Amino acid sequence: MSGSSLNKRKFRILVAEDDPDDRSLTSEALELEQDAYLSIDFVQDGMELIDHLDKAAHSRPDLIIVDLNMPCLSGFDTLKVIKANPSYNSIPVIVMSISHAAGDVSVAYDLGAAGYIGKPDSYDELKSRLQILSRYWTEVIILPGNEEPSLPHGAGNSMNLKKTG
Amino acid sequence: MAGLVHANREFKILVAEDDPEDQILTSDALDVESDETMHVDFVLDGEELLAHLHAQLDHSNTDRVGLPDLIVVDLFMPGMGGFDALRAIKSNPEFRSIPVIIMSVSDAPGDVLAAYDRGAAGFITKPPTYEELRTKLQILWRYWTEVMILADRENKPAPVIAGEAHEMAQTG
Repeated sequence: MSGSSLNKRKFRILVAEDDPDDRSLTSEALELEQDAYLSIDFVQDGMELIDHLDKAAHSRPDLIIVDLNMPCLSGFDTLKVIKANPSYNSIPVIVMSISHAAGDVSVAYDLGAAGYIGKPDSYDELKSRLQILSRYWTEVIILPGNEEPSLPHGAGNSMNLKKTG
Repeated sequence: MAGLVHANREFKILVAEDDPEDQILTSDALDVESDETMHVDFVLDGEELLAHLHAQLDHSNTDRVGLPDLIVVDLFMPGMGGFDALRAIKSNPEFRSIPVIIMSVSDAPGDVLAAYDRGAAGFITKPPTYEELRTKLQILWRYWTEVMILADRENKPAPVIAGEAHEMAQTG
């Protein structure tokens, strides 16, 4: 889509998921898109995710999906760490869970999640949800372009205050 | 769809947009008229947006329709603009779990980054043609209604502050 910074390169999704079955289902469900314009990386848990973000400063993901229940830093704790770090707090984080408990959903949004997705029972349903998700993030939504040299955190803000103020 | 909070009621979108023509185009592109599962309210600027949200908390107000499931805010509006409205929503415990999408004619990298830094759930540009607008809004609609689960604002638990998040999660 014109104007999007995304067509210059593949859209990167980083998924933190400790269950190997769920990892392969997710990967399979996005297989077609993956070839064309999407790349998916997986990490095992929250600790590994933060480690990945710290190390890969030049190839950070466009979108992060975290499983809620993981060993070594839960989904909520991972979300807190990401949102508290100015180097990557602008990356949208989607929480994924088998739980639809109202408390969990509300906490996720309160902590700054960009969305909450339920793990469905069937593979076809998962596939359909992930396909809508990937279309939404690649065709509709504009993200901060990772290939641009990033401005210091404060500089970006003051630039905008001038424009809006 | 099972499990989605809004499955048994209307999905409510609140759009802050000062341009009357853009309001009509948005409404048409979403097929608001023909879809009974959708309720779209329009406000003209940030002040009106916040007044609308506060009115939904006032139980003596018989006209209230409930807090929206999703808020779409035009970046440049007279009076209170998009960023100030976003900041006000995200700093209020009653409203901050509502996803806010920023909409703008430009995709200036500074604006996009600033939107996400302030807690926007997404940033969309106004496309040049109606067909593109329609495609974008239809995908947006499917994403938020068929894929995403939203916080239940009809029975919202007591506002959570960050430090308490964990206890809340375990009881939920």
